[in-house]
Amino acid sequence: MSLKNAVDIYKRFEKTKIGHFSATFIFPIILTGLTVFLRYRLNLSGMGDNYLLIYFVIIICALLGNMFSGVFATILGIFTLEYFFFPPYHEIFFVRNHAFQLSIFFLQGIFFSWIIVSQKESSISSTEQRDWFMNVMGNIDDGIIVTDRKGIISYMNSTAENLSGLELKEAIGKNIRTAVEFLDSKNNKKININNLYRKQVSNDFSSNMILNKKSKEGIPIDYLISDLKSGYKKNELRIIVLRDITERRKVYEKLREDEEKLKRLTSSSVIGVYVADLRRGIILEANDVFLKMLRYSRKEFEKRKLTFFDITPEEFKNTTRNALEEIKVKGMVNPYEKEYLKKNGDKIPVLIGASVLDKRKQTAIAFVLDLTEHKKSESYSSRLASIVESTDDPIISKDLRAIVTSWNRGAEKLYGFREEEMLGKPIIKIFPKSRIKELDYIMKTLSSGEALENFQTKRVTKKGKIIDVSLTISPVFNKFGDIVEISVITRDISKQLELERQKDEFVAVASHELKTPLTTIKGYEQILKREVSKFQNPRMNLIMENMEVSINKLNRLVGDLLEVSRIQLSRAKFASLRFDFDKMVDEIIESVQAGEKKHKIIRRGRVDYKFIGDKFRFEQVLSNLLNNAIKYSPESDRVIVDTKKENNKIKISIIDYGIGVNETQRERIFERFYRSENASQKFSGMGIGLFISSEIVKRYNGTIEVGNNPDGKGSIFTVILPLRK
Amino acid sequence: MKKVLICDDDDGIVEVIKIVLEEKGYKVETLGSSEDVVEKIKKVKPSLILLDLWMPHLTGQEIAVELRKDPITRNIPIVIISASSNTKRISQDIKASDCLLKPFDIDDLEKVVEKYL
Repeated sequence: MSLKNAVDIYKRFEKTKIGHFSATFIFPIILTGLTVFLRYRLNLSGMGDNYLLIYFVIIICALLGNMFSGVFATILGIFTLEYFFFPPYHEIFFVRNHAFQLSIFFLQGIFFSWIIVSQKESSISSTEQRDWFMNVMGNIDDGIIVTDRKGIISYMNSTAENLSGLELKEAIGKNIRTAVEFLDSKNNKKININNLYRKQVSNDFSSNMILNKKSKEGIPIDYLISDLKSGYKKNELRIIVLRDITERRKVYEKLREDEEKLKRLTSSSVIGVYVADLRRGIILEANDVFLKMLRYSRKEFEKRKLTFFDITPEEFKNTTRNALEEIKVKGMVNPYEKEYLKKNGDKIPVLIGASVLDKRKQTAIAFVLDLTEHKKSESYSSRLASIVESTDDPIISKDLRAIVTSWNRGAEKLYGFREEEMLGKPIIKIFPKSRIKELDYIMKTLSSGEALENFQTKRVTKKGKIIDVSLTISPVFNKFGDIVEISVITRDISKQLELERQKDEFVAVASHELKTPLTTIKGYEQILKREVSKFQNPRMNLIMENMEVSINKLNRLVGDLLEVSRIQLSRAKFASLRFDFDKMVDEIIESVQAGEKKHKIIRRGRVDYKFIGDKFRFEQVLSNLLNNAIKYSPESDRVIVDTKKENNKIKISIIDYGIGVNETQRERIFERFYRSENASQKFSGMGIGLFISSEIVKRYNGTIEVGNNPDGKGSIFTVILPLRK
Repeated sequence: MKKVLICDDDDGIVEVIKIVLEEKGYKVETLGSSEDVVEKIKKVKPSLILLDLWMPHLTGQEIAVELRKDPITRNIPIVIISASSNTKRISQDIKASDCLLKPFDIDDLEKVVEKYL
C-alpha cells in the first residue's frame, strides 16, 4: 500500500462519518419529542426553562451527530417553541416579537452546533486519527518516520524499521541520524543526514542508499522529506518517507539488459532489422545486415527512402499488403517467408517477422533472416529425399526404438507393405519369427555408432514369403554427432543366392567330375611309375616324377576351387562338436610331417582345452599354415608350432624361417586369389589357402595375423580363437 | 584268398584299383552302379568293400546303410573312396571303417586294404 492509497482510504472513511441519516434527522426528532413530553409532565414553566430545554437538545444532537443534526434540531426547536411553549399555544403564529426572539434563537442554535461540532471533531481526530494513522502506516509499503523539526523521532512504521534495521522503541526520542544513515553510492562513505534533513524539504523523491543497521548493507531507496501540515500546529512535524527501490532497480536492470540484447541483436551480423513507417511504408532505419542483404550502401539507403514495395518482387506484393493489414490489426505479424529484391534486381529468400514499435507514430520493427543457405540445404535434402523415394532399392529408416520412420517405393515393392502400413510401426513386422532375436543385436550394434554391412539374413513379405536379404544398416547422425535414426538399405539376394547355389552345385559336380578322371590318371601314373622304376632308367623316372607333381598340383587346384566357392558364401557347413585341441594339433603335425622329409615340425606348449567346433576346419587351417610355412622356407629345416591358452583365448603361432612377408603383402595376404609377387614367381598355388583359413577363423570370431619371425628371418602366423562359453 | 569288392561307377578307377590289388595278390571283384547292387554285394560275400559315394543309382551312403542292416554283411569292413570334401564326415556318419580321398596314392590304398585284411 502506498501513501496515496492510504490517503484515499482516509477520505472515504471521513465521508461515511458525515452522511449518517439517523444522526442528522431521527435523533433531533426523538430528542425534541422527549423534551416536549418532559415539559408537560414536569410542568415546567417560564420562558427561560423552555429555551434551556431546546438548547440542551441542540447540544446533545450536535455532540452525538454532526453540524446538520445541530441545525436540524435548531429548526425543530423553533417550531417546538412556537407551537408548544409560546402563547397562543398549539398554533404556529409567528408574531413580530416572537420572530425576533426566534431569529436570535436560530442563530444561537447554529452557533452552538458549530462550536460543539468543531470542538468535537478536533478531539475525535486526535484520537481516532492517531489509531487510524498507526494502522495505515503499519501496513504501508513505504517507510515513514515522523520527527519534530529538530529531527527527534516520534514515530516510525514497520517498513521504516525494516529498512533502517532499527526498532521503533529503540528509535523513539533519538535523533533521525540514529535511524537513517545514507551511503554515498560511489565511495560507500556515510552522509550526515542532518544537513539534508534541515534543508531538504521537497515534494520530489531523491535517490540514495540507506545503511541497514542490522545487515550493515546499503539498500537503494528513494526518499522524501516533508513537513506534516496539520491544522493549527503548522510545521511542527516533519516526515521522511523511505521507499525501497531494490525491486525497481532490478526491473530497471532487466530492462536495460533487454535493451542491450535488442541492441546486440540489431547490430548482430545475423538478423536484418529495420524500422518502418506503416502509413507511408517507408523504411526509416535499417541495420547493416539488412542493407548488406539487399546490397544497398548506407548512403544510398538514406538518399532513396526505400518503401516495402520497392524491395518486394511483384509476386510477393500481395503478401506484403496482407502482412501490413495484419500488423495494423494485431500489432504484430507472425514470421512468414517471402522474397526481397536486391538492388540489382536479384531475389533473396527471407523469413520476416514484425511488430508495432510505436502505436501513435505507426512505426513497426521488422526482423529479417536471410534464408539463402537454408533454402540451399533444404533443396539439397528434398532432392536427396526424392532420390531415396524414387529409387527401386528398398531404403528404410527407423528410430532408435526400431519404429519405421520412412519407407520408400523400393521397400513397398520388395515387402509388399505400403508406406502408410509401415510408418510408425515396429520394424519387427518384416522379421520372420526365427530372426526376431536379431533385432536386439542390430539395435545394440547401431546404438554404439557402428554400422552393419552386408548383413545377410531373411525377412518376410506381406504375403508371408521368406526372402533372403543383405542389409546395410547405418546410423544417421545429426550435426552434433548424436544418432537420431538408423537407415537400412536392403538388397534382395534371393535370386543371387539361388544363382550361387546353382554355381556351387556346378562347381561341386565339376570338381567331382574332374577328380574322377584325375584319380584314374593318378592311379595309372603311380602304377606306371612302379613299372618304370624296375628299368632303372633315370630319365624315365624323372618324367614320372614331373608327371606326378603336375597331377598333384591339378588335384589341389580342383579341390581349392570347390572349397573357395563354398567358404566365400559362408555356407560351408560347420560341425559343432567338442574335441581335444591338443590332440588335433598333434594329428595334423603328424600327417604333414609324414609327407615332409626336410623340415622338422616342432610343437611347443599345450592348450589343454576341449574346443567346440568343426575339427576338420581347424585341421584345414593348421595344415594350410604348416604347408605354407614349409613351402615358403625352402632353405630352412624347421617349422615351430607354438600353442597356448591365455585370457580365455587359444593362441596358435606357426613360425618359419623362410622368405617372410613384407608390410604391403601383410595387408593383402588373406585376400582371395592374392599372391605375393615374390611368391608367385617361385611358388605355385592359387592364393586361396590363407583366404580359406582366415574365413574359417572368422567364423569362430577369431583373428589370424602375420608378422615377422622375432628370431630373425621368416614369418609368424598367429591364430587367436576366443574360447566359446 | 581274401576277396576285395570294388563298388564304383567309374571304370577307370575300378581298373586302377584292380591292377594294384591283384598285383598284391588279392582276389578282386568289381561292381558298377545299379539298383540291386546291395543284393549283388551279398552274393559276392567280400572280406572288404571299397565303396564310392557318388553313384547314379544308389549312393554309397545308402548302400552302406543297407549293408549295416543285414547281419551277414554287418561286419564287413567298408572303406569309402570318394572325391567329396565331406568324405571323412560321411564315413564317420555311416560307420565306415576308413576312407580314402580321391585321387589317392596307391601306397595308401595298399596300406588301408592291408589294414582290414
